[in-house]
Amino acid sequence: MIKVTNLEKSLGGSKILNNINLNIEKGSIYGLIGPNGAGKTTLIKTLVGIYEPEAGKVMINGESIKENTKIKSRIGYVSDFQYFYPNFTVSEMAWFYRNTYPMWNEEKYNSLKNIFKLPNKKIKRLSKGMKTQLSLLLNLSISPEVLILDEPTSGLDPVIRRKVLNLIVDEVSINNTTVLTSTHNLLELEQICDHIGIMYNGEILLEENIDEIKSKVRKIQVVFNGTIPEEIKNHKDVLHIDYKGKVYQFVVNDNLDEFIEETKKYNPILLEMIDMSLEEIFIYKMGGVGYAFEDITL
Amino acid sequence: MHLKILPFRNILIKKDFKIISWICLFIVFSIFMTMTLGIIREYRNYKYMVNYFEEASKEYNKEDLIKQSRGSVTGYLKHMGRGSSLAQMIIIPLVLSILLFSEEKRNRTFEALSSMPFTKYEIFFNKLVLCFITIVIANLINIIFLFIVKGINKELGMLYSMKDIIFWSIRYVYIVLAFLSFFTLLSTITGTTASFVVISIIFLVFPISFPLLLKLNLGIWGVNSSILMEIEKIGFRYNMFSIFDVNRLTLSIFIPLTIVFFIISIILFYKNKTERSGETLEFEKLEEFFTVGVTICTSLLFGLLSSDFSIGFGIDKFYLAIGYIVGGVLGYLAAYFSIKLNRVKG
Repeated sequence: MIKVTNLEKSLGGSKILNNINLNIEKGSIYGLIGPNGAGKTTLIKTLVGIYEPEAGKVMINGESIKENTKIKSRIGYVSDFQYFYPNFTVSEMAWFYRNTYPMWNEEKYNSLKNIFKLPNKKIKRLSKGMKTQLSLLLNLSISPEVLILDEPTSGLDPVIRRKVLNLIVDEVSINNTTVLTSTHNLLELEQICDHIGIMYNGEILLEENIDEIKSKVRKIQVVFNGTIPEEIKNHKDVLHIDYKGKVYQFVVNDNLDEFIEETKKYNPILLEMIDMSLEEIFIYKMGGVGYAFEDITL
Repeated sequence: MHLKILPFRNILIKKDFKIISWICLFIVFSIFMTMTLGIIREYRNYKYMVNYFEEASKEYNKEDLIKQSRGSVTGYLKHMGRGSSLAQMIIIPLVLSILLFSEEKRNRTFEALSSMPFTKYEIFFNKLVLCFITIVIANLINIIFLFIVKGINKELGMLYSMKDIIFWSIRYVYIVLAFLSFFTLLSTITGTTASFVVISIIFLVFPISFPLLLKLNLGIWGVNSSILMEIEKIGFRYNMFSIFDVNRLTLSIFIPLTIVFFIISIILFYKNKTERSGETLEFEKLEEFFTVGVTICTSLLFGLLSSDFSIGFGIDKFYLAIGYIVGGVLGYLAAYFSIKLNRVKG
């Protein structure tokens, strides 16, 4: 559905996107995560046609996004900052969207209005959260084939946030919409996404199905008889070691079976798997590329 | 409606009309205040004369009075009225360019439009169409008003011909469109409203002011160049303000120039990058030219101003040099910081 090939983009003399390759299947919810300054917003803006890349291509449904009104009419985009016409009212913005997008659904708009309950004020009088809600309202009402969201729940209260996540999931399950969402809230990502991409320094470090990534990066709790063996301590697949007394917790990336076999050679008293959240996986994975956090308490 | 060659998009025109609707009313009002009211003023003068003669029981020839008043009206219309109508023909396209181009960059609404199903050509084209429609309709309203008045008040109607009114309106539209093309071009190279206004003023007066500035500075150094005098004459004769003198020569210059400005504007608009909205200049390559230009002009201006302090002391060249240095430094810093402070973060 969305295919990005060798994408490169610089801003202000700095390279922000460096040879990005991405493949998002139709009907999936793809979560894009990364630290601040990773290039997520730049990537998203290039995907929707706001920025033109220096190299590479963005193809949606096999067509280039550049100046393609047909494709853009099927894309809903909720940005991190909403740039609406400040002197337009909410209903005037809806009028603009209604007459721009051919697949505008008036019934859906009316039912979503009851959920978001926005006052019909001028845009400049709305708070940041209200503007985000307006953007969601409008972009869901256009019945998009592709929905691209840049931190869509930022600035929203918990109740609306929950509703928005449900709406996104409904959009996918009912209309088979393809969703790309970027967020810092990994808990939310874990709840709704089936694929994630981890971005760092303008590159996609990892792109994986969530279940698969959770199966690849595991936490193992081990208690050894004596001190931790050097071979285990320096194992190539260990991302992080934490310990309290004799109890060691290893975060292992790939080759889990090999690591377990190596560990068993030292007859540990205890060896068990511990579930990891997506947040933990992200933190330890980023630590593997030098974006380290010290003494993380989770 | 979406035709391939002429990409009319009603929704874009309607959207932009919501933004400029107040200026449409202003155009109608200002044409009325300058052109229509000018005619009514002349009619009032005529009535005053008639009343004067009748009250004084003096003989007068009504036909001659009408002819005289009609001549005043014709002259008034031919020279586009008073200074206020000339000013509005500059201010209106300036404000239209600000609202439709510069403010969209400042508010980052161009960014939103870029993600929507519009091409750059559609966005640009429909803005120009709206400007043209607005200016023409404002004139049509006044034409229709004067046509109705001609039918209702025969005496007032005798002071002007519809042919003169229509020619006035055509000249008005031509002049406003020419200035619009000039300002639109400048809006495609500037990224903020402030830089657009400043650069517009600079380029409006540049053909007159720069040769004059150069001539005055060189004069203090004892250099009297005939070439410079010629350049100054050309600058005075051929600048945007020359368009108010509507004749074959100016028409042959400004009509093609308007078309060329619009064509260059659309090319530059296409090349505008959304990420540079909010920067002083849209194109990085212009920054050096801008900095050098501002430095030189400020330097020359300050040199001239500071040499005035030395009148009577006979050391004007010393003060001139000081002025060059101070002006140059100030100009450079102004240009440098206006670019730096508006630098969009990557």
